[in-house]
Amino acid sequence: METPLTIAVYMLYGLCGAAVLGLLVLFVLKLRHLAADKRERVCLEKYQDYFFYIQAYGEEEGRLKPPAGVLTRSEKRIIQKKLISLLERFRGIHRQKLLDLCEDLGLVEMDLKRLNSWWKWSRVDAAYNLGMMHAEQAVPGIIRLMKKDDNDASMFIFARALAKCARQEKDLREMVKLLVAYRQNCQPLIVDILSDSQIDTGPLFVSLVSEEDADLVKVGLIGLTSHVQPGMGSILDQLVNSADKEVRIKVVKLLCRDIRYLTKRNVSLFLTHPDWEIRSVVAKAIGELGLSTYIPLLKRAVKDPHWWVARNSMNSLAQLQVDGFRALCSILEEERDSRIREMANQVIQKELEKGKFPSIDLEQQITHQQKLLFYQEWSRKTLNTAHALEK
Amino acid sequence: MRDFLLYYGMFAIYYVFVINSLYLFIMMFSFKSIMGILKSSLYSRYQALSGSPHVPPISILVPAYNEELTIIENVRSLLSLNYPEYEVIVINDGSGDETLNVLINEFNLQLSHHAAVRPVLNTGKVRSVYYNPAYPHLYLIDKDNGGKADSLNAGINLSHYPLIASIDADSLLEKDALIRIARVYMENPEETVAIGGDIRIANGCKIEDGIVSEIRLPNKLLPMLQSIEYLKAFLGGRIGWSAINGLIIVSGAFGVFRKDYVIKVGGYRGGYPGEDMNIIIKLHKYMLENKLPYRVAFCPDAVCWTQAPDTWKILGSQRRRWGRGNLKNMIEYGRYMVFRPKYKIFGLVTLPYNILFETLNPYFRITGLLALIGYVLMDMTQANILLIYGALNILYGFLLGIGALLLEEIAFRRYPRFQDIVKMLFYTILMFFGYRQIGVIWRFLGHIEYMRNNNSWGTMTRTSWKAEEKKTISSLEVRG
Repeated sequence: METPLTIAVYMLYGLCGAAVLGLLVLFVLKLRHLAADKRERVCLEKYQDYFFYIQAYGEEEGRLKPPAGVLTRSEKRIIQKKLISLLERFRGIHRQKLLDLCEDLGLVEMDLKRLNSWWKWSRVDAAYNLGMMHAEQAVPGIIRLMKKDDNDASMFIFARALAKCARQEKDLREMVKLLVAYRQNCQPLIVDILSDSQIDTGPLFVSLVSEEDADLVKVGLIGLTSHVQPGMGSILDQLVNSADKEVRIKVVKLLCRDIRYLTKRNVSLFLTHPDWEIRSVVAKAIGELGLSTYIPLLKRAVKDPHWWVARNSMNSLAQLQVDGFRALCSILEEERDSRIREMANQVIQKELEKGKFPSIDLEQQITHQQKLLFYQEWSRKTLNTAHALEK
Repeated sequence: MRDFLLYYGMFAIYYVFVINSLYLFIMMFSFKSIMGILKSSLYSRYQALSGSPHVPPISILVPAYNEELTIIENVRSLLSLNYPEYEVIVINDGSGDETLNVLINEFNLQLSHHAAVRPVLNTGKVRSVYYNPAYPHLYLIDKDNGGKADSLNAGINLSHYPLIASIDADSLLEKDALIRIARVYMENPEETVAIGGDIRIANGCKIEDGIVSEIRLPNKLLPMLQSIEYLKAFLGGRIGWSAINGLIIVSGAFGVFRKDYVIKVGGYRGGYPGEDMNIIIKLHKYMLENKLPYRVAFCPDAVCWTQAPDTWKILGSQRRRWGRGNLKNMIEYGRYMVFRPKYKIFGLVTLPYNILFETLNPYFRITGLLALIGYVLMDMTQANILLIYGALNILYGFLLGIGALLLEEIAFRRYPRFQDIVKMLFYTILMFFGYRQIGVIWRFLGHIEYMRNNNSWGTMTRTSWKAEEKKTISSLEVRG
């Protein structure tokens, strides 16, 4: 009887010890944080005039002067934090002068040393700071950190820092390859990280599209959506037949951004493609780009078995002025499938409902009135025909 | 008989020790992950990301049932999130109050008879959809009453984007909450099927224009106790569970999901509470059975502020509902998946933990306590065993509370004052003097309701955020 209860008492002692230790750590941490906040407040007040100076003289000739006197390490950290927040706000010469000031204050050098720290989170802090200070010297160090095996989500912090520091395309390319090797399918994030770079990433995206690795190709394709490059037609045409479905879809999305690629041949091909996503993307693009020439193809596509393809085709018809709208109405007469008729009627009514809301665009109002007029005439005629048939 | 009571009492003591030790073990994973979370949160430039064209668009679904007091503030707050592309779909679930009309009037919504609803999930009858192009990202669905799950399914049918976020109508999202979750998603979009946000108690905070502008701990007893509970559960528990991909629940108050997978598992299960746990169990099951790589993540820096019940009656109703939901899920899925290796961590760790230490918790605790009381009544000289049982509960709970506060202090520091820490520590202990015991009884009563087929939602009343704001200001004035 005695033993189990004795163990329970020992457990209580253990818990008491752990709780006291935990409390101690919690209070020390809280007090340290409060002290750090106070230190920061005091330091910012002390250098308030200096911060006014660097904001006021940002556009003047010559380098910004460092603050008078010797800065302690902690003061340097606080000033660096403030400078980083200013760097995010300023552009052009003002930003360059702040970057020079970071060098002059020894902040870059300080963080370059920390990049080799044995404490992982110091390395992460240092990489972030160096990135914000656009320190080109940090590139080899950050690449080395990215190549380490024990990386987690900090990989993305390193990558963003590298994108800001890099001055050469090859460094960015290496970063992209490391990220893709670390985690597949995060291409949109990689492209977003690359958008932080100072150098033109257009050529990099073009070259990535020609890579064998489908993940790299996807990075290139996503990147090209915001970096239009001339003469891409032949490469993209080849990729339409890629073995990777996602690549195919992304290529077609890219092609659908430019009217020149939407030739009759391509549109016919895409609207009959086995991937419903591709059919859907093209159907939507025709309406958005106002390509009335393809109304007959859209009329065929409304019969597509996939809901999104049919719906996008009908929406596009509704968008294509009165001609498209007329084609949409004709579906109600010609189509035998009640599902399609019902969907077409929904889209027509939705289009007509737009008139309930006051539109500021005069052109839109005119188009709407034309559609309404056509619909009223058409429905009257249809009703008359129906009555005549009944009689 | 005396020996039996003693042995059973001893079993209860060790049960308490084991359950808390396992919780502590899971909390260690939270500590392991916390620095990574802190740095990622600190160094991800959300302002730039919230304008990025590469962020995935999200449909926010807001089921609303009798929410006339809070819905306008909440929708306004949702419409002003820092996020590049999203839509807000409010689903009025047959409210008996003026929820529908206040929304229509406030946003000048017009009846849209022909909105594109793709019926991928079965739902109760949708009466109408309302829309106003002046608010192009806002939709209002009016439907017959069918419960929260049914409303979410109706929202999915109307939604236009590949990700859906479910948000309670009595909750307020921080402006960056969605973009923070999107960052977690973008780091691994292929495998992420769901991401939960951190839920915190808004009672006591100052709220202006649907935004929590000043964070304060609640002034009332019950919300304060719930504040501590939430902190322990979300920071101490969910970070750790998500680190081992064993998260069993993404709070219904705020979570983001891949729509395609939600549809593949048949959407939300209607007709019973606990739909937030149910959808996560189904997602785990589907992904594991189909051998697909996946993760259910938790994003503790994406914060959603919610109103905590501040009366015993409403709190009891909520906890009984949670008890029913948990039991239903364990009976429906848990018993078939538990201890089966093909369900990996979820089947071998999460579910056994949940069944033994969550679902069956009231039975062991109540009977254990009764056994010890019976034993002591037979021999009053052995009263110390009761003290040991109580002390073990309190001390371990206190230790876990300290752990959660440490995590909070390391990574988030949302309660900046020193006295906040002291106050929270005090309530961490206080909750073991009555509140926890009542909680166990509520859970037990929830199980009884389940057996009796009581399937009602129970009492739930809302307070206007404006009233909450006024109350906070006046209490601050009183304190001088």
